[in-house]
Amino acid sequence: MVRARQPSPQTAAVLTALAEAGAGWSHGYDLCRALGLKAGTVYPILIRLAERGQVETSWETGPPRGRPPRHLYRLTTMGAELARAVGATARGGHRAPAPGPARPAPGSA
Amino acid sequence: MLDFLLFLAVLAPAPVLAIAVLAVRLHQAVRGGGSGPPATRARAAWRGGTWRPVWPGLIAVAVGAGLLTVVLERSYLAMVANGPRWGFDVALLSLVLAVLGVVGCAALAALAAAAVARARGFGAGTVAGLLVLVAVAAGATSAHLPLRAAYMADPGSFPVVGNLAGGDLLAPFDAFFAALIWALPWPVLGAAFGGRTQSGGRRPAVRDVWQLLLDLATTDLPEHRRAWGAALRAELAAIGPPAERRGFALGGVWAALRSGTPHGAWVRAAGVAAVVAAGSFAASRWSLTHDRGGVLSFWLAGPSVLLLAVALAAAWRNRSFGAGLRTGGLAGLAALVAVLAVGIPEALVWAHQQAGYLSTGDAVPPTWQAAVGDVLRPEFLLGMIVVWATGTAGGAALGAALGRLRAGTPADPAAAASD
Repeated sequence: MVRARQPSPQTAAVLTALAEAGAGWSHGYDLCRALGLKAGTVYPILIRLAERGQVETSWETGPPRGRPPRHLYRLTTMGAELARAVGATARGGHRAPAPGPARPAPGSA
Repeated sequence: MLDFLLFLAVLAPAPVLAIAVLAVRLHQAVRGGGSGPPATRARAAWRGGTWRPVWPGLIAVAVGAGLLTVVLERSYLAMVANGPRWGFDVALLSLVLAVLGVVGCAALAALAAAAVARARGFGAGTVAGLLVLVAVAAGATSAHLPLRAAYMADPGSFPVVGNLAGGDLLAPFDAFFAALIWALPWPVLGAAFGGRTQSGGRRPAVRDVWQLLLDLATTDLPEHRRAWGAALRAELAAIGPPAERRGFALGGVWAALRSGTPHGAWVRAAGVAAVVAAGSFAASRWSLTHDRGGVLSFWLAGPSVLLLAVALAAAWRNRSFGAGLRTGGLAGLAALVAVLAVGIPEALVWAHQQAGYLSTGDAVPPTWQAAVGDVLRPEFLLGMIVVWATGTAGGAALGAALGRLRAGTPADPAAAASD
């Protein structure tokens, strides 16, 4: 039997932030800012979640001239279920995810 | 003889590849002629390879190399006579460290060449990388020559080391200068790695040092992670404040370094360990039966060729130098474990049969501890690591080049998305 592993606090924070965005797309930098985490933490988590099919990725369409399109992220159905389970575990008295102080990202949608 | 040929095979890929790269670039320059005659291009490459911030960096490299040489020479002279007391050959260890230093210089020159080539083109990158090696040689020579002169004038005032016999006390430092020749191809390879162009032959604009750093760290990710490198670069392009750019770029570099191990690297490492263990055992028993000396030459050459092949295959498959280097590095660690796992019990067998030390076959170890200690000698272990690293780096460079030749320069997923 495969043992279900409890996500790290940082992974739980990323899942929660993406769950709050719902069907909307998020940018990696905005996630870093909102969670107070470094890109070196957030991107490996996004890579892992995407490779497990829990995060869906896309490229921005119609970026401003002179800037490459940004990469976008949102939860898949499987990812949303995981985020709900993580949220329920946190509410059930387990150690809660520990995102950093929320900060608005400049220019974020 | 066979060991020597294997060793040559390990050394050959980098210079052969650099010559091929230079030949292709020269051919393109002669046929294209887009930026004027060759002399004009050479002048442009020289200017690009020396302009700020390159020349202040070169002065810093020369001064640093000089200071480091002084410190290392003083430390060496203070320690070299203590070898017998410490149980290893300080002069031989220093010789190996000198070659390791050359590997570091090659990496520094390749990195400088890649960074300059990314911003100013292949020619400028090659010039800058070669000048890094010249700066290292100039700085180290200026620090070494006074000591060399003093040693030639009065060798009696220097420590006497028994096992050097008629050998030169300062041989490790001379070896460093001789081995620097091995580093010469790496600026060319670094510049070829960094100097890639976008579609239409345009060179990507470099906004600041943070973009350059992230570009270099992410541009060589394995095939299955390439889109993530493009995502990090595109995200950095959307960030304005310098402090935020610095923080994001450094985090992105860390993410790229952590996420580059290709699929199957652990399996390949286990395979290399099994082959090296079996080869070491066979070499030991064959040498014992045929009275042919120790297995050190097999330990140097055999795994090097194997690591070259593994790094080449991984780099070719992923079209990534870094993927080859990581796979080869992991396999190298596994090979080291295999060498020790087989070497220690075999050293005991050799000692029991009074056949000599396992490494070189000379003399008979007085105790079993001495036999085992011989396998763990730092100069032998470090020597193996240096030669293996050479094979791994050469294989990774060759594999990445062949992989790109097979499938062309990888397209930027962000650029493809915007088309």
